[in-house]
Amino acid sequence: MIAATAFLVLLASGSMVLFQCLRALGRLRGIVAWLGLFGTLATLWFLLDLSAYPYPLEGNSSAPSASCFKCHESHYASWQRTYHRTMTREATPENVKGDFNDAVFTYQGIPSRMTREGDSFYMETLDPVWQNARSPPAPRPRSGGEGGPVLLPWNGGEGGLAPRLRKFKVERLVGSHWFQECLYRDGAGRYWRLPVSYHLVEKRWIHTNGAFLAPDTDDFWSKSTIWNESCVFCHNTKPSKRPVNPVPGRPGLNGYRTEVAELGIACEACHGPGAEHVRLNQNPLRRFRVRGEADPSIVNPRRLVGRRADDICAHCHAALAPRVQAWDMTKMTDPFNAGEDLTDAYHFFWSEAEQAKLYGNGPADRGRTPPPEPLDGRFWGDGTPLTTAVEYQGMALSACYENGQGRLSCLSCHDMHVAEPNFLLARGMDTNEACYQCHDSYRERLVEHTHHRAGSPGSLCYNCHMPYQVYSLLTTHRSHRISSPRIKDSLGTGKPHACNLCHLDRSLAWTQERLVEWYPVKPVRLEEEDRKYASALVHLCRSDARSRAVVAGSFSWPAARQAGDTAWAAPFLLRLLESERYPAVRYLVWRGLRSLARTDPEAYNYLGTPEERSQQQSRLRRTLAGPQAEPAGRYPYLPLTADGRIDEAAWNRLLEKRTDPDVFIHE
Amino acid sequence: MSSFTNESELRARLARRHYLAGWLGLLVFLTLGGLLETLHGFKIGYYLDADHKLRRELWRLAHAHGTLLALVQLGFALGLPHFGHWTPGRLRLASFFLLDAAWLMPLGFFLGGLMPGETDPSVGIVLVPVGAVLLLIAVTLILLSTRGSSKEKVESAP
Repeated sequence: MIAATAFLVLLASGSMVLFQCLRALGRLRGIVAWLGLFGTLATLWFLLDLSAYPYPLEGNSSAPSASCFKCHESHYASWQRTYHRTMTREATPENVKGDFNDAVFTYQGIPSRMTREGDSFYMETLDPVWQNARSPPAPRPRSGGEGGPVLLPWNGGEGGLAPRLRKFKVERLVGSHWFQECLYRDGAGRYWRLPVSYHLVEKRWIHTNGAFLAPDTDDFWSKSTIWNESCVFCHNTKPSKRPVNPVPGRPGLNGYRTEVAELGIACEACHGPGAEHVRLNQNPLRRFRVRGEADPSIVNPRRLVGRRADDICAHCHAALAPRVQAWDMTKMTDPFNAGEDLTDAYHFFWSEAEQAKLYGNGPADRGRTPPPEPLDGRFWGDGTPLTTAVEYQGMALSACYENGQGRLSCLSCHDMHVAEPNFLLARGMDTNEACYQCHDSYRERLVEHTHHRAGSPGSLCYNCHMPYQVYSLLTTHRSHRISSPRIKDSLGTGKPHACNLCHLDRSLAWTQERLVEWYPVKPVRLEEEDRKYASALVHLCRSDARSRAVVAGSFSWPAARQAGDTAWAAPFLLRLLESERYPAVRYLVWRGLRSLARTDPEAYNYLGTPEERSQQQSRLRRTLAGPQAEPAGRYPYLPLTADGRIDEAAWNRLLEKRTDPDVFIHE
Repeated sequence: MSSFTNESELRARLARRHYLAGWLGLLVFLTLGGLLETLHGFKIGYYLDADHKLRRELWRLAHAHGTLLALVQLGFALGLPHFGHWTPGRLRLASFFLLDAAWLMPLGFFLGGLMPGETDPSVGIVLVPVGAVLLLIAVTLILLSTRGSSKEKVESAP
């Protein structure tokens, strides 16, 4: 159509010029002049048109995102705003967000000092060689095991010797949304995660022991992973690990010459290699030829069938194990390109037990997919993902996805280019419009269906069907498993019930009564505590740290405070701080406490030593909890005495039932 | 073929044509400029939204080229009776092409901005290179006509 229009326009103008040539120069000279002019133009057109073909996509290579700017300025600009772009950056003044102005952060008695010299950034912290010489870290279990370590303050330990510090140059940064982690490059090309990160939400330095869900440890370098080994694959574009074993001249030392097409998640992560696309589309005729149609020289996720488009997101937002036969194990270049079938290069796994099997560490029974074990760090007991970077599995488990005949995909709600950088939701997709795309009939009977007032948190589809049941990055996130909030899915799975993440003062039995009354569901038998006490408190007292983190995160959720009375919570949360051995949970409990009581953010340091925290808790108890007494009967599901104080006996009974094994969430 | 046999009569006739085209072009393209300023004044999204940067650029180019080429018509009209060594055929051709360029280029830019894609203008933009080639030929012919014009001027002086 476009080519035909262009041809007609050119034919008309050519005829006009022919007429003018004839009038001006006479018949013969006019025709010769016209032929000379339009012959030259036609030849140029023909040559341009020839070079517009074919589409040699074999062996396509990478082009930097900057080359996309020439044609796709608005897309380039919207990508520039995303946290995808800044997932991994070089440590330059433009990219560094942490305070390097001679800032000091002390953890376990070790003062880490962050400084800047010109355009270079440094972190002086505990020398890992010195630490390992004194206290070789014990093997870190993936899960299981009771109790926790005794924290060793490094200053004054070892006969009063001061710890040896070492100054590391910060070469790269990972993250720009929640945390910014600092990487140091050693002589073997390995980028080490330094033990202190900047928490962008709180605008403070934190120790990485408190950045992930893991129990307290006195191993100062326990979270110092090597970026080249795993981070590189999801945080960059077209990574190539390139191990060097051993490093030349360094027998026994393994290193890397890792390469990436581009640091961070760049255009080619979603659109595939683009060098040929850039080269071909320098030809204006080709651009007109493919205008409005699919350009086979590049991948447009919007034009892919749903599953192939989802594969692009799943590449980083799913639990995957490499399919070894698809990989060149020498270079270890990620073989996946946008538009391809992800399962050609990776296995999806649906539990950490299955992951272990895929890596060859699990039982020999390969025919059976093992369900999540009780302390799985990625999936709740019912299979629902409990952390981020597993969103694809959540969506894939949803009835909407399984029965939607391809209507639901990541791009149903997300848009990489028109959306706000936070969560990249397409316009209007933070409202019920997201669900009305398929379930339009609920638009007219929203109140009838939800039994909640229109406009209230309970009438937002997301809050019941995609609740905040996911933990990572010191906060909670929405589950991507779109499901009905069934009681049985929260029994023995660790997964807190959606309703009780809003109705924090209500019991699971209370929730069940409502669900049975409103919907065609059958009641299930509940334990005494689930009938008697608020589900949030039961989880916070009894459950493992995964559930505690998710429930604690709800206390600072505005919707939860809007949905119910939370005036009761402060004394309980203070009590919980006393017995909490997971720094991340302490942070979330403290965040909840702060949002309820609006107290000084500096009043409690969840990463402080036990003695410091004990003193801070005492002060908080005096200022916050005080002689608080709640009216009897106001909170039927809280362990309160008749005069409204915490029922110590009941409280202790709940705490005694706590199962507190070591669990780890590595996101 | 032309009915004009007298070269000075031909020059005068074409000069009037270009004079008229110049002022007409100024009227049209200054009006377009006013229209664009109005779109700015009332913050019309069709012209000012971030997604319409290409339209904005192309319409500005239409306004600028139209106005400038209208001034070129006036300059040609004013100089034609006095300067240049022309054959009738070359003069007619230069005149045609100069007039063609004066509407083809701005029209091409304007149409190109009507419904542009993300990366390129709409198809009307093909008028621009056609106009540009004709303008180039016309300017070359005018430049060639200056050869010997001094002599001619001296010879025709009283």
